[in-house]
Amino acid sequence: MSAPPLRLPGEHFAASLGFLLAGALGLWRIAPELAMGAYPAAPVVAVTHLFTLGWLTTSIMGALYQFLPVALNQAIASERVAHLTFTLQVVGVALMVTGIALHHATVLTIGLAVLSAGITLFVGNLTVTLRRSKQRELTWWALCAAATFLSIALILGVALAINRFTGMLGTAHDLALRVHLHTALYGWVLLVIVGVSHRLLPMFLLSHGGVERYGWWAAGLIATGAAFLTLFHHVPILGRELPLALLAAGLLVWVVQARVFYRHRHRPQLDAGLRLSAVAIGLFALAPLALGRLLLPGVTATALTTYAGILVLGAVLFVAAQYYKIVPFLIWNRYYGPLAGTRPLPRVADLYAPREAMIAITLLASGAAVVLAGIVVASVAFIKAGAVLLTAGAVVEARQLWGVSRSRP
Amino acid sequence: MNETQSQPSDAVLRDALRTVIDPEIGLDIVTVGLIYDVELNADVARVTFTLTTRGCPMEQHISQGIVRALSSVPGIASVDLNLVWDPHWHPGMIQEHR
Repeated sequence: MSAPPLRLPGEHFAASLGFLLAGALGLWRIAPELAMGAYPAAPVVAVTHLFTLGWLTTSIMGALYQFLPVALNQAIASERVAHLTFTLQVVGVALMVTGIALHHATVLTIGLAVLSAGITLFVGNLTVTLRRSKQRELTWWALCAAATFLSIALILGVALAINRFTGMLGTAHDLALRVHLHTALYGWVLLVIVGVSHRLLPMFLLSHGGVERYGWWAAGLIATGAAFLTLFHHVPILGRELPLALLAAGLLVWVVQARVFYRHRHRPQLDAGLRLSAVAIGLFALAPLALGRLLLPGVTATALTTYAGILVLGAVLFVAAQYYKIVPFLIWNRYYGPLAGTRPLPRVADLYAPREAMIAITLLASGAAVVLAGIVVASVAFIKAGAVLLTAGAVVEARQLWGVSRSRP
Repeated sequence: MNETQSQPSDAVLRDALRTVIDPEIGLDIVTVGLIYDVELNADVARVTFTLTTRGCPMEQHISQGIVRALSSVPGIASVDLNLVWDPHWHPGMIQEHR
């Protein structure tokens, strides 16, 4: 089963990197709001979606088009729809974020409509692909559940966006926000990460001999938690404490699975991508602790912002790490692969300078850490410093990947 | 030219295959353990090999690389590829670096 041409994932990755840069720059702007824990503030919501929809979701879409033939032996059902989805996604996110930031109802409405069309088409295209696949492994189940939760997150997101102008949700706003946040970050982003990493981490680490069933447990717990939260959000215990505990447990079990893969690796030296992945996994390990704090009485806005920040920045770093694996591989596959057996060829890792990559991941990881520290201690200066580091890291990585994309034999 | 001179040895064939690398692992496919067997019948080389994972995106390049590498060996007229999944490849099959 062949992967799609380079253009399809390539256009997604280029646009995603643009959103990452915009999001990192946006952190500077929203530093005062973050320091106050004002997570529902319009600028914070706008910047958050530059990361979640612009960087994470667009990256996942592009990566899946390349990954599905490898993992499920099934190419995406329609490349034409995938290109259309891409356009709608990018335009939709840009308009939606602008509409939220400027509190402009018309721009927001158009953005939501375009984005909803794009995500709906993407989910449909992915669903047809998954139905055609005969492989029913963890990756398949995780992607099925993730597609479902992406749809739920979209519906709730649209309702929350409309609510900004109409107040139609009334007292249900906080409930809707909680379900939206968890279905989006756990149900969509983390389930994709769990499902995909179950194939990719052992492959990249050359891991062998470790227990692999934790991945199943992680996906099961996260999917169950997100489902309970969606279905019983209005019921005490069953719709709050239980699902949040399931989500936290699922995330922890996945961290354990990832640790098993790293411990059983046959590759002693970790490249930039695998190092940044490890940092992101470590960050994810903090999320259950932050979530546990939310279940105790007297929850502060800072605690809520910290929790969401850990999840978002953990996912941001994990995806940034995968770019160092995926982009050089795509270029090698396209331009160097046809020369295999005719002359000595570079390795995938030879397509970029490891020292520059280490600088990029150090900036990204330290930027995320400083931003989170700034949120915890309510320091605008810290958050701005973290934003600068994160932006610098994104610039170095984007510049390096641009160089990789221009690499030829 | 007699029969012995025209037939390349197993070592020669495997050395030729070492020009094909797994680009992600960074090692040649013989060292990675992807080559299970190389047989020579007259001037036809039959290579039994595997890939690190099913649906490996490198399948086409590795397959074509094997054909190109062996076709460049004197005495080889054609290459017959036999891709197998049993035994399943695992990282423990990677040989010590030469």
